[in-house]
Amino acid sequence: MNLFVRLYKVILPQAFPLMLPPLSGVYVIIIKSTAVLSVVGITELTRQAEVSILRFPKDILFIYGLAAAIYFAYCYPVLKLADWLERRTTTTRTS
Amino acid sequence: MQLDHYLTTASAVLPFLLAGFFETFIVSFIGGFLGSILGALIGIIRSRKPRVVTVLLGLYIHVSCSALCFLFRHTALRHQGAAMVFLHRRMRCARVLHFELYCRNCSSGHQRRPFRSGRGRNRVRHEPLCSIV
Repeated sequence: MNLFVRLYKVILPQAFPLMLPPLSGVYVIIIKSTAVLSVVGITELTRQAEVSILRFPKDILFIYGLAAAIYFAYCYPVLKLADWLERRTTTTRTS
Repeated sequence: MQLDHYLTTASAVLPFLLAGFFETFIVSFIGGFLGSILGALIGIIRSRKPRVVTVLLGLYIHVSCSALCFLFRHTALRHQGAAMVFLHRRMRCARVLHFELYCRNCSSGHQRRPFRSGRGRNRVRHEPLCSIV
């Protein structure tokens, strides 16, 4: 077996259940870290919320709450999906 | 009255927020995808143990750990106990450097010596571990 066959048939099936939990955690961290991009002018969610606050300055908390709700609505299913995949791969391995 | 106000604000703001969310989705997806591929490539390359790449990656880990250590010890970040534990664990795993680290539980520094246990062929050398880790 060459390297890639070994990777595909042996190593990856064993490594996938191990790397799922940290991968999902890191992915959620990346999602939250995209807020830093607002500093360099990329109009992502936090930047759009800041721009919207300029239009509605009295509703700061409400607009940031909406942004937080959108972040949550994105991150929570990702974690649930990772949980489900982890359980599925684990049960597949044990059965 | 208040509810109407919030509904009006939400209907005016949500399209922009959703556009921003789309941008966030794209950036995070590309970041996660490319980061995973880069990590897998580095892992595959390191598993082949080429001398030059191993030395370069070791140098990179050394320099980044040194810089992080300096930041955590001499800047406002030094109170971040969780970050110290993270760094501590990373460096223990990497076994690259042996800094005098300190974290929330062992604030006096971390320079315990390794110890051995067992006899004969079962003799094992234990690396010193922080009580948190």
